[in-house]
Amino acid sequence: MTTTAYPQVRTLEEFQTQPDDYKLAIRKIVRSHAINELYGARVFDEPAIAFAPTPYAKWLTCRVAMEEYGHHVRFKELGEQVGLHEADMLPGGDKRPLSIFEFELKSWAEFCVIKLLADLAEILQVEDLLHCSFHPLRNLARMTMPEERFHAQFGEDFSKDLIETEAGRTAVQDAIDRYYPLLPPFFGRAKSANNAAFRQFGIKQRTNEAMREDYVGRARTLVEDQLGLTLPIAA
Amino acid sequence: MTAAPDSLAAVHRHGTQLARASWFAAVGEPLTAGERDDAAIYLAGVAFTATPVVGVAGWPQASELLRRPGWDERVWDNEEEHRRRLLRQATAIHGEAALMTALTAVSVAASDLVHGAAAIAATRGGTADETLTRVAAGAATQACYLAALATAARDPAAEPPRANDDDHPFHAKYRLFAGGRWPLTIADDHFYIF
Repeated sequence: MTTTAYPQVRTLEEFQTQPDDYKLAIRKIVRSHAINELYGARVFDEPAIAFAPTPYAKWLTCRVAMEEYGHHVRFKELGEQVGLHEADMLPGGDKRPLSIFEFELKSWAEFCVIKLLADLAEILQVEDLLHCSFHPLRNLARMTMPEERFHAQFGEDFSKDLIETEAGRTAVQDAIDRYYPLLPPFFGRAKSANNAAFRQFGIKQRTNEAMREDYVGRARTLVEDQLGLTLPIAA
Repeated sequence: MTAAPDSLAAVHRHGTQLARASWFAAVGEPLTAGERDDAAIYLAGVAFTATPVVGVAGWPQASELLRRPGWDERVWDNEEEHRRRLLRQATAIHGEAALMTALTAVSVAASDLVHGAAAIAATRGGTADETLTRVAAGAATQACYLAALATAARDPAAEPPRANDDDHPFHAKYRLFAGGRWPLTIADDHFYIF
């Protein structure tokens, strides 16, 4: 893990006195989270309510959608405090949502796998902000983390329910085979200039490569050891 | 698009009244006559007239009923049909952006409020099931959203004013939640209310 000597930025007032590059880096991260939390809720969580098989699963999915939407609202509020415009934190502008959202959701098994694997990826991203030098962002990460963990647990629990039948096992493995390859690129390019700036300013802790390697290991443990399925080799 | 500030103002008022509701405070108690009346309004609205109403005594029974695979999915489909129709009507009255902003405000206000109330009620009921309290919160938040949508779809210019706006099944369902109940599901030709 990279340590940093960058001073702690405890308040929004202190944020205003930081170098422009620091402010830009913070805005990039906050904007990305605000857009992708909302987009994920729209393309995966809300449509999944219709696929959920019982009232229990439907209302739990409603709750998950609301929590993801709540994350968007909180990141958007922070974004406005650090100088972003609301329109810049909504999908449809010049910043495209992540490629992991291009997967067309068509079944409950696919949604469970998305929660299992994509929310694990999100957990790693939020974990990296838990020691962020900018305290309002650090505190927001700490606030959202328990919900992100719950969403990943949701995916694991319902995937385990599904694989109790042969048809369910086949559906979950098929969804893993098709969705997992989208995830390692989610952590960004190797030797990324953005990531170097984030680490220089103590905003993030790890390189994209280190996070990706950690993710692949944790996904493999989850899929192969916990579920007894196969994790495909991603390019 | 027709501006209709009155019905959106009613949606905003709906949002401000959420904190005064008795979320999950009466679960497990015997059903009152007024609650049975609201259940009957709801059932008639979702095309399940004359379905017997049954009280549910505890959180474990509620959880089991909600997970039961043999539930009657037509009730969900019928609610969805209402929801889509109301959404079309309300969008035509207010425009998509204003409507979404108003409904989102209600849902966000409800979300944390009902989750805390469900957790407290479950603890009082001897249950520490974090997932079940989230299920309860999801159900209550959805009921708030649907009731707000039904309110938004009222046409304030309608002549004569409709006397039975509160008879919409989404308002009846919301009243059950606001009175501390949790309408669970229709299964085995019975409507189960916790």
